[in-house]
Amino acid sequence: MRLGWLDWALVLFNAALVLTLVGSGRPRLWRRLRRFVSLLVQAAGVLAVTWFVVTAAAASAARAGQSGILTPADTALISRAPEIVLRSALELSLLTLALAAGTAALAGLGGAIAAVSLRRRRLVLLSPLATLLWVAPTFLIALLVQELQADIFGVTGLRVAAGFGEVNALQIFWVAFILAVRPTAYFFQSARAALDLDTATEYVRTARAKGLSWEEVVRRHVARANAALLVTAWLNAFRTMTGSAPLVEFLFGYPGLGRVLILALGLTYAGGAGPVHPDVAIGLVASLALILILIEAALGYLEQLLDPRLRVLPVGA
Amino acid sequence: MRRQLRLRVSLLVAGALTLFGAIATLLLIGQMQAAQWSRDIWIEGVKPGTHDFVTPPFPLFTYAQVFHTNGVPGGVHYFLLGSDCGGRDLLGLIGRGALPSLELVALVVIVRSLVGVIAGFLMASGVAGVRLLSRGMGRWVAGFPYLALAIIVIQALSPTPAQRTPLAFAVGMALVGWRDVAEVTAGVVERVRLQPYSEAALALGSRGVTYFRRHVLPHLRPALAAELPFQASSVLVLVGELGFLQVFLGGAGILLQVAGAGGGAGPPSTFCVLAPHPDLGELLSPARYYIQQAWWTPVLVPALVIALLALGFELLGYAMRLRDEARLWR
Repeated sequence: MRLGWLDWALVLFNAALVLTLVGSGRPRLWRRLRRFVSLLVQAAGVLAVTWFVVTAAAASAARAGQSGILTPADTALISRAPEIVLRSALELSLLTLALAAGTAALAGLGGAIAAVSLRRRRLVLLSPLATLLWVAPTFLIALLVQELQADIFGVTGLRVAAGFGEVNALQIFWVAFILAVRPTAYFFQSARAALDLDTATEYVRTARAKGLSWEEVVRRHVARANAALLVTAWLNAFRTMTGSAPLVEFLFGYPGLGRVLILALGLTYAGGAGPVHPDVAIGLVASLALILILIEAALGYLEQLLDPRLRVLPVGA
Repeated sequence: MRRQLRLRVSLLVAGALTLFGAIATLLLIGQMQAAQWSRDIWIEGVKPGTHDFVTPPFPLFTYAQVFHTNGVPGGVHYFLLGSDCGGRDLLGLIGRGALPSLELVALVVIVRSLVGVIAGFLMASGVAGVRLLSRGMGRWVAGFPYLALAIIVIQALSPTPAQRTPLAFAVGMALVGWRDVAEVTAGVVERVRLQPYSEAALALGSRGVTYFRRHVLPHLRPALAAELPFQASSVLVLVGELGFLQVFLGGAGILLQVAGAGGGAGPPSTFCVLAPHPDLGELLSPARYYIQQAWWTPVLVPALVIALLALGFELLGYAMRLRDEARLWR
C-alpha cells in the first residue's frame, strides 16, 4: 500500500507522540529526545498544512477550469512521474542553494570580519552598499543582471548567459549568484553589527592590553563569542534565499524546486491557469520546508554547542 | 551620541520623504494624464518633424505622434517613462496602478499587524499551553518558503486571474508575515512583564485593558511604529514578486499581436499580453516575455518604482528604530 501525504503526516505525528510517552518521567532521556520530537511535530504539521492548502487550491482550480496553455518544455517538465520530477528538481535546487548559501556565508562573514578588524575608512562604504542590496527586491537584481548579460553580449558578442531553461554551469552560476546577493548583504550587516557591538567590551580591551593585534582579537575572540548570533543570522539569510528560489528559477527557467512548484500550482508564463498537479506541489513544498526545518534544527544544535549559555535553557525558550 | 543619533534619524527621514515626494509627484502626474494614453493601444509613432518611426515599447523620453491600430493618428504625446508593448504610457499605467497596489499593501499590513499583535500576546502569555501552541504555529509558518505559501493560499482562495480578490491576497500575504510582528509584540510584552513597575501594577490589581493601556501600550507603540514600515516594504516587494509569478490582482489581460523590432532582438512579429487595468504587480507579469525580446524599459520601470517605494519605507523604518533607540538613551 502506498502512503499518501496525510498518512505520512500522521505517521510522523504518531512517532512524536510515542517518543514523548517514552521520554515522559525520564528527564535525562527526554533532554535528548525533545529536539527530535519537536522536529517530528514540525514536519508533520508542515505536511498536513501543505496537504490541506494544496488540495483546496487544486479543488478550487478544478472548479474554475483551465484557461492557460503550457509551453511544450513546461509540459515535458511537469508531466513525468511525480517521484522523478521531485528528485530531479530537488537535485538541481539543492545544488544552487548550497552554492548560494556557501557564498553568503563566506562573503558575508569574511566582509564583516574584514570591516570590523581592518577598520579602514574606505570599508565604511560597505555598510550602506549592503543595506541597499538587502533592500533591493530579488526581481530587480535578477532583471539588472539579465540586462547586463544582454549588454555584454551586445557590446562584445560574448555570451555570458545560458539560454532560458538550460541547465549548465553558466546557468547554475547565475541562479546561485542572484540567490546569494541579498542573503550575503543581510548576513554581512547582521554579522558586522554583532561583531561591532562586542568590540567595546572589556574582554576585547583585555585582549588588546595583552598585546594581541586588532585582527587577532576579532578573529580569535569576538567572532567566536558571537558564533551563536552569526548562526542565527545565517539561518535568516538562508530562509530568505529559499523563499525567493521560486522567483529566480521561474525567471531563468531553471527547472529546480521553485519553477516546477509554480508549474505544479497551475501558473503559466502566459498568465492563465494551467493544470494543477497536487502530488508534485505537495512534494515540492514539503521538500523545501523540510530542508528549512532540518537546517534550522541542525543550526539550533550547533548554536547550543557554540554558546554554553544556551545549553541550560529549555527548548522553545 | 544622542546628537549623532538624532542627526542620523533626521537624515533617514529626509531621505525617505524625498523619495516618497518624488514618487508621489510622478504618480500624480501619471494619474492626471488623459486616460487615453494609458488605455488605448498605439501601433506605432513618428517623431514630430522627422521621418523617424518608433514602434512600441517606446523607450524613455520618447516624444512622438502616435497612431491607432487602424492607422488613424491619435495625437502627439511625451512618453516620459516609455511605454509597454501596446504603446500605452507607463507613467499613466503606473500612476493608475499604484493606487490599488498601495491599498492592498495597507490592507495586508493592517491584517498582519492585527494577527501579529494577538499572536504576540499569546506567545508572551503566562499559560504554558497557549504559549507553546502559538510559538509552534509561528515555527510552522517560518518553516514554509514564504513565496510558495502565499501563492498556494491565494490560489486556493482564487484560482484564476479573473477571480482574484483583495481578500485572497490579504489572507495569503498576511499569513507569511505576521510572525515578525508577533515576535516584536511578544518581546515587548515579556520585557514589560518583568519590570518592577509592571509587577507592582499587577499586584495592585491592574488587569486587562487598563493594564494594557497604561503599561504595555506605551512601549508597544514605538516598537510597532518601527516595525510597520518594514512590513509595508516587505508586502510591496511581495506584490512585485507575486506579479512576476503571474499572481496579481488586476484580472486577465488581452492578447495583442505586435510587430517586433522595437530596438530589441525579438522576432519580426510576436504576441504580448496587455492588462486593461494593471496594478504594480501585474505590470511586472509579462517580464519573461519582455526579457526574451530584450525590451527592458517596460519591466524595469515598474520594478524600479516598487524598489524605490520599498527603499523609502525601509529608510523610514530605520529612522523609527533609531528614534526608539534614542528614546531609550534618554
